[in-house]
Amino acid sequence: MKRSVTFVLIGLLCLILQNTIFMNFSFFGAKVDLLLIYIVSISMFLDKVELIFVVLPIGIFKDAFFPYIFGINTLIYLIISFIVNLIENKIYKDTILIPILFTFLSTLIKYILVFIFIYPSGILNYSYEKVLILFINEIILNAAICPFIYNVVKKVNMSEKLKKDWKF
Amino acid sequence: MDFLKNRLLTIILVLCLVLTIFIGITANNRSNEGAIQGVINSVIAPIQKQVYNAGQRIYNIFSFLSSISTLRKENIELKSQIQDLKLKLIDYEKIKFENTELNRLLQYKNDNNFKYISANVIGKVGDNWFNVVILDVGSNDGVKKGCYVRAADGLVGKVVEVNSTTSKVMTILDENSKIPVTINETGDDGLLIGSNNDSLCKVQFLPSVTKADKGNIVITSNITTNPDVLVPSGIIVGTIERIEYEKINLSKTAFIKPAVDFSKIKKVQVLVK
Repeated sequence: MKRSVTFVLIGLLCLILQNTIFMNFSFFGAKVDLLLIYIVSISMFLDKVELIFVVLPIGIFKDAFFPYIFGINTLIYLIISFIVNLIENKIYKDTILIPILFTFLSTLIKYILVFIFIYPSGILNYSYEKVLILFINEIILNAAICPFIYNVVKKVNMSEKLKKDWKF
Repeated sequence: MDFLKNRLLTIILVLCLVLTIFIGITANNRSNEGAIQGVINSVIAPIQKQVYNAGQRIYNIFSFLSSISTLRKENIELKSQIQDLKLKLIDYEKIKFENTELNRLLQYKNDNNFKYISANVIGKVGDNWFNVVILDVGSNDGVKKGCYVRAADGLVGKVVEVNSTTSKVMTILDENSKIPVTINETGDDGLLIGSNNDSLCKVQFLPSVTKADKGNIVITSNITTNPDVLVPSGIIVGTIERIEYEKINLSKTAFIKPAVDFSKIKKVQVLVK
């Protein structure tokens, strides 16, 4: 419970930083998705049940601020966290390349889900070329920021107060 | 906990289904307003306001450092602009006097029933998809959907969603912002929309014979389809950067640089009836 609350609060901090500071900085029109990187990072350390309790409130917080549509971010984060957690359990290598690759995969899944859920509603009128350019730029940005967030999450997860006891 | 572990996939699938229904309903109404959103916005908005102000200070330091090299050139340009504006001011005073006299003769009624609500920008949302800013005023302060929002330099956009203490404003950079505008110098009407670009928006459906040119000022026009919303005319939107001819709809499109610097926006006014 303590772990879940801590990770939800860090997620909330990421959301506030995203809405206030990181939205001012863009790389050829693309903005970094701090929460997506955070979700990818925590999915590599938390178990599936913990993930639901952490990802669900973070997604709802993000959706409360999102214009026009409610639920899209929660859905994206739930699916991404589940997939990342599923694959991560089968990988035994501890290298920084793994979270970067997961960030790449997650950004791809995010764009596919946005394409499926937002495009049919007609709210978004971006051309395919524009979406492709945004996607490439966002991947570069997310991959560049990923190691920092991953290391913070790793440190928090390893801290004595939040360490999980082994169960046999 | 064991029950959750055993039924995990089922729970996730049910959650996805519920969320899909939510997405369907809100996307159809094009509105993300409700009790949950209102409560979350009200709780987080005060914290966000403080962080936004701190973030703006950090951003200002970065932009100041990057602008040092261009300051001298900008200074020379501004000095020449001041000279031009001084000459225009003399003309303006003369025309203003004439206008007052003529209005008095015609007994023209000036119907400016505006009420301004001052607000602070407390965040920017919408990721890469939408260009939306959050204000710290809501329905409790009298803000309504569709109200126009302006900053000291010019038009910011219009209110698209209202909660009790916060509201979301779609800026003129957003692709969905369809605002009627007029070219000040020529009087041609057009429709302002965002161009998916951080610094430019465009005015579409200008007549193909328009004499509008680079440097002309674009202002809001008072055409409206919603009787509840008072459309203020004459608010500066920006200046024309370039004009292109669109063969498909036989009209011209003007690309304009907004008067408002959206990266530094802090204080705004909401115009209500």
